[in-house]
Amino acid sequence: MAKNRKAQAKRRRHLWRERKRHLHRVVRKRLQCEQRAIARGQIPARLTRTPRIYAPSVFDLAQATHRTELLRMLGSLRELVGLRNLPVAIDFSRVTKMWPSGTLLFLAEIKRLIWITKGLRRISCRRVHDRKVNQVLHQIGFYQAIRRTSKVEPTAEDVIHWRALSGTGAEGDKAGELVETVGGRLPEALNTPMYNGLVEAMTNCKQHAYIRDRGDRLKIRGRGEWWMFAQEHLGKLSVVFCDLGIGIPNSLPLTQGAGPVRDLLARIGRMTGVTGDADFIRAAVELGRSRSGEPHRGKGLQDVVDVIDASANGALQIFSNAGCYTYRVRDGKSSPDYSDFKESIMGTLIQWTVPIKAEEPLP
Amino acid sequence: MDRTDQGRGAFAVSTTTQDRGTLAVSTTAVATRINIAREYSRFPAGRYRTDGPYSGERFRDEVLVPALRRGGQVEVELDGTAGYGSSFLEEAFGGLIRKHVLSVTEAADRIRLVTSDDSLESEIRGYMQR
Repeated sequence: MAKNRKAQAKRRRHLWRERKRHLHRVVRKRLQCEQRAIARGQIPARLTRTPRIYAPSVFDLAQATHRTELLRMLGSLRELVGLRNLPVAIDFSRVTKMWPSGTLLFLAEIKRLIWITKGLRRISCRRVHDRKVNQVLHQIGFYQAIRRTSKVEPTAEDVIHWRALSGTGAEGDKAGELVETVGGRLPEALNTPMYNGLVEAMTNCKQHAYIRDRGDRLKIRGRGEWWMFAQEHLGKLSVVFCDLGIGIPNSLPLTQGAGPVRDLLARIGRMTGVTGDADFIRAAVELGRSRSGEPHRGKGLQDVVDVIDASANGALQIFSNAGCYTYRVRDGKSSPDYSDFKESIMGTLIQWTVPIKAEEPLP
Repeated sequence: MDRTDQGRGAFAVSTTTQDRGTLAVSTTAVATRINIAREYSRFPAGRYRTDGPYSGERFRDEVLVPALRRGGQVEVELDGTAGYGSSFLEEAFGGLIRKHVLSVTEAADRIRLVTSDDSLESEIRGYMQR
């Protein structure tokens, strides 16, 4: 028996060595072919193949690891498609979960890149293994955006209720459409605050978000574009709104003036030491509450916060550049929280999460 | 106002000469009645014209100011819309004071707000007092 095992191990080692030699031979031959092609003035096939970018396993902005992976992928996309004008294939084989915040940012970046490349087919996708991920990509309009034909029919309960919208500036009819679509599921007292919050986010986006280019080296200034969608999951409704502008930490001093912003930061006790992006979001929320700064402007974020104040249980998250502001209301008691991440999302994303009213399906 | 009226730049505003002197605080006659949902938009949004098609600035300049110029009290019916963002309200009503169309006292006297939402009325009154 022992002799047999030794022989088998020897055979395996031999096969492994043979395989290695074979691979070396193949690679050597391929390289020689490429060198000959270069000598003839041709570009080898390996270098003309579409670069592949791997999408992260989870699309999320709230969890640091997932956020880093997602933002790294978006950075690569901007670099290859936006700057180098190369075609790119996104590999979805690792994706298992798509949360609203990460998914909306991804969709917004894709649509912006398609706009920048004037609709050329620069982005494609490969290996969407997860059935639900496939349905989500169809439902949010990703396949349509990259002009890929899709025969997917969303059936999953937490996918069919995704509603995606996009626009430019304050388009009240679209905010109204979204609120009316989900209105039957929302507590009645939330319909008007939700509409007000959405149209104020749109107005802010037009007035503040794109006053400069966002510093991603593409040197393209938006015209007030926004993207949003609603998703229903585990008895909660998430409405997410995002723009790809300069972010609140950059726009606040430009629109309100350095002096008032300094006063605000002093008021929230963050004048000394390093001021993070979250402090600027906090200052912007405070500005809305106090109606200070430029007397007739800057109250828009209060409408955004009011949505959660109107609900007995709900949460608001504002991601802007590297900062995050979380505001929760539980049984009528509110608790704000601020945190900073390492990487910037290069824009602003607002997420409202409120409990839905009843279990009847959407029309 | 429906979508087909969008490009015309003028709004239909109902004009009456009903005397509300005995009912309202003010003794000025209600000359014009504006129903925002019916005569402007069910989805008002945005501050400036550049923000969107149904902005506060456009409402002020094309609906509210012409109605005020006709003299008398203007009754603004606020119910029936999907909602109002702060910037729409501030620009439409606060803008009257800022642009010196009306003084604070005139605004309080000549603009009558009709709404089932008391907080909305006090918010607008707040904008017209600064």
